[in-house]
Amino acid sequence: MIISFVNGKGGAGKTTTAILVAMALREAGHAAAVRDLDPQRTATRWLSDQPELLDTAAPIQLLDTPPRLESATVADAIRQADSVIVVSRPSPCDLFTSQDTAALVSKLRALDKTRLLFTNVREKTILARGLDQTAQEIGIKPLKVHLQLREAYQHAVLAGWKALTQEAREEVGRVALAIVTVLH
Amino acid sequence: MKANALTELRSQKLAGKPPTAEAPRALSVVPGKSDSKSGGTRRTTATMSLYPADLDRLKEIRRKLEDHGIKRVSDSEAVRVALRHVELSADELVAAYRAMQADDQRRKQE
Repeated sequence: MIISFVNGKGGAGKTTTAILVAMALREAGHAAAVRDLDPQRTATRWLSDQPELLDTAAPIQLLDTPPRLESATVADAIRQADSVIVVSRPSPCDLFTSQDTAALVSKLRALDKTRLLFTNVREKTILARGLDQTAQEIGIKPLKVHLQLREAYQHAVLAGWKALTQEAREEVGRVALAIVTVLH
Repeated sequence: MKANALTELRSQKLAGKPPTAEAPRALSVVPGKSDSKSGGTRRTTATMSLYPADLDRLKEIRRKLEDHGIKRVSDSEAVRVALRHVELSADELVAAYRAMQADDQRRKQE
């Protein structure tokens, strides 16, 4: 099973999300790992102390793609995935690239297994209240859950699942569950 | 808000779905023979064609390792070092493949 995390913009949260979802799936007993397709090798470097999360033979592969929509790697990852997750911050600055990403995905495949995941969401802000509207503008159906802006996530990608609070684990668990549910 | 997403995630049947064979992931692992040479780990014997340029490259890899005190590197080990070191970027792999085809002058361009 292959799930690709894409967005043409760097810093949208692709790597962090792929790692967190892989951790949640493993925590739930599923053999998942991140496949680092970004030449910058961020995931590989971040996971140097957690090599099991880079197991290329794991049956569930979460593809962390480079932030370049013109890249053949991104096109391959979109075409060949069982499901595509467009990762986006809710900020207006990310909107245009996310729209471009959505356009690329819709050009390469049907959108039935494609979802939008918002990251770095700050609750009780204007941007957080407007997620549905932003999703409409991007043109991809959003997951019903999102990832909040949490410092714990940055710690977790380096230090592992245990660095997360119970609340953060639950949030990542809900996101992972929502992502795999798309596949059913 | 669900209180126990991980528990629900545990009950999801995901393992039954096999990986997509043609996806940009690692090649399928073909179990090889376990033997004393491989220290009990799996290995698979493979036969491949190498050209003079490839052999020169392997020689260069061995020389670099020798410069750092790693002696007696076999051809297999040199190939494995190269595989582990390669940048898995589709753009770069395609460019390398095209250059290789041009060098070989053997296969038809796709």
